[in-house]
Amino acid sequence: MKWPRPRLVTALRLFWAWAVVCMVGLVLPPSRAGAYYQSPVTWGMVGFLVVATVLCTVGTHNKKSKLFSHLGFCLLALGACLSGLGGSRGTISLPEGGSAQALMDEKGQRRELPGQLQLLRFEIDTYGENLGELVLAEQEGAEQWIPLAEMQVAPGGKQTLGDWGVTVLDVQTSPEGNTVMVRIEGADQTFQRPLFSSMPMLHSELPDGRRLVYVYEPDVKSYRSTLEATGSHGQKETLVVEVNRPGSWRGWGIYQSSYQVQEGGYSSTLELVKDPGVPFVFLGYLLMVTGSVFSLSMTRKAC
Amino acid sequence: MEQMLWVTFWGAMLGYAGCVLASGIRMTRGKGITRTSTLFLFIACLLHAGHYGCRWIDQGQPPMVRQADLFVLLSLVGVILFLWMGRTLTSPSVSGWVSLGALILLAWQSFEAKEVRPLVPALRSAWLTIHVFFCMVAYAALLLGSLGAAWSLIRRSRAGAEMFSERMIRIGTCFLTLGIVTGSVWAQRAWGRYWGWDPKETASLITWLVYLAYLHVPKNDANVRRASVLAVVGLLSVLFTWFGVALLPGLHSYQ
Repeated sequence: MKWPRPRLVTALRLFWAWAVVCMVGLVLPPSRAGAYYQSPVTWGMVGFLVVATVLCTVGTHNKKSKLFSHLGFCLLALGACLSGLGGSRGTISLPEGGSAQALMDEKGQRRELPGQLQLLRFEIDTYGENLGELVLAEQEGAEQWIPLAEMQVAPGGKQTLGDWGVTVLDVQTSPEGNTVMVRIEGADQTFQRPLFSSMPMLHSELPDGRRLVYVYEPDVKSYRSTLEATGSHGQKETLVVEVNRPGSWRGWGIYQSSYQVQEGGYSSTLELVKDPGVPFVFLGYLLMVTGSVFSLSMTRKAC
Repeated sequence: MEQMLWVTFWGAMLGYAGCVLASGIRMTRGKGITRTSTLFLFIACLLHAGHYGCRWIDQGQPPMVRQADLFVLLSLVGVILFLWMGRTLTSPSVSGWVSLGALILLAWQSFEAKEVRPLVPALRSAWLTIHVFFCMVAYAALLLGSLGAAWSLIRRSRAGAEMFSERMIRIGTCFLTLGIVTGSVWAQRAWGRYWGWDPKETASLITWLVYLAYLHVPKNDANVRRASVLAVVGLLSVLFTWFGVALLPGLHSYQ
């Protein structure tokens, strides 16, 4: 029996059709693009491509490259289908000490977790070198302030800004922001002031009408949540979740998404994901990469 | 380190300039000094690699985020690929053009701010080095291959250019596959989502499809022009994936 193998031109047309589907998705606003990629049209296109791929692979002999890449693509498509149909994801936002037993998934449905997750601790590491800057600013117009001079904040640091000698006496860091104590020396007066990074409105008014403002944006190196997961039968385990270091708990992947600074501490936002398609997708990737490596040895004639 | 950066940068620039000059002389005279231009290119490439290594040590993190650093890596990979695969090209002027391209990309850093921001948490991963390296090899190979195809379209019968172009595109597509796959695996590890239809991902997928189409076109006499046109479309797609997508919001707009 002879297989109804599609002509090469069909494959080329499907590539173009897919490229057009992607281009349309690119120009759509992000709020609509998600629904577009999940629409029946897109899934139908995946189906067409899979059928064409299978038909032009069956009966292929001695072409490892084609076999591996096409099989890999089919597995990838299968994994994507499983992710779309059986996957679930949602976010929870926990203050330190807070706990959750359910989450709202992407479709807005409440999903029960297999127990309880409690945030024991949230920690942030920063690149310590950066403690911010002290900026001398002058008023221009009714509302506008323009920077005249600036100095890096470092304990014991001393610099002349305009007509004022500024010495950093002490720096205190906290989740809400930094506090820096400065000594300001002029020609005939010396005084000390605290400056707060989180409250730039509490700047120091200088006698000459200028302002000294503390500007600080921390360079965050990493952040992590320490969680206590309690199963339905009371068994407990501790998980540490960090960006690029997810945790795993009873079939759910736990990912550190972001954090918010709140009064008195932090609130950690975690993404919980259950995706049965991932192993198929990764196996598909492996086969596709193998196929494309085999294709490197193909000669012009073999193409 | 400052001194090493300076020496390797200017050494590489001089080497590339020497290669451009030698290729120019070869073109006008019609013979001689082909080996000299290759020697210049080889020395420049070594210094270029040294310069990239110095940047890595100096920054204390993989120099793979800022545009200037990526241009240094792209041009380095491009020159290495050309030295390896460019033997099929018969035109002596090509090494001059490659050197000129490397010279411009290397000089680009003069236009960018010297300040290096530390890596944000999501980028602090070994996958950054792997993913970006694969993508840069892919872009370099695809750019060289597509330019070779454009050259063969302009000059018509250039069998050497077509062969070079096809080999480069084959390498480039393989590395683009690796780049997309490693990016996807990294995204799964960082956000639990192996594909998010981020503009850069989508644009890379378009580029990948265009080059897959190129590879599927039979390279016989009847279709060779069609394949070359596809390679040129791929070139535009690569440029859009790199520069055009930066204008759209997404996960790849870190700095």
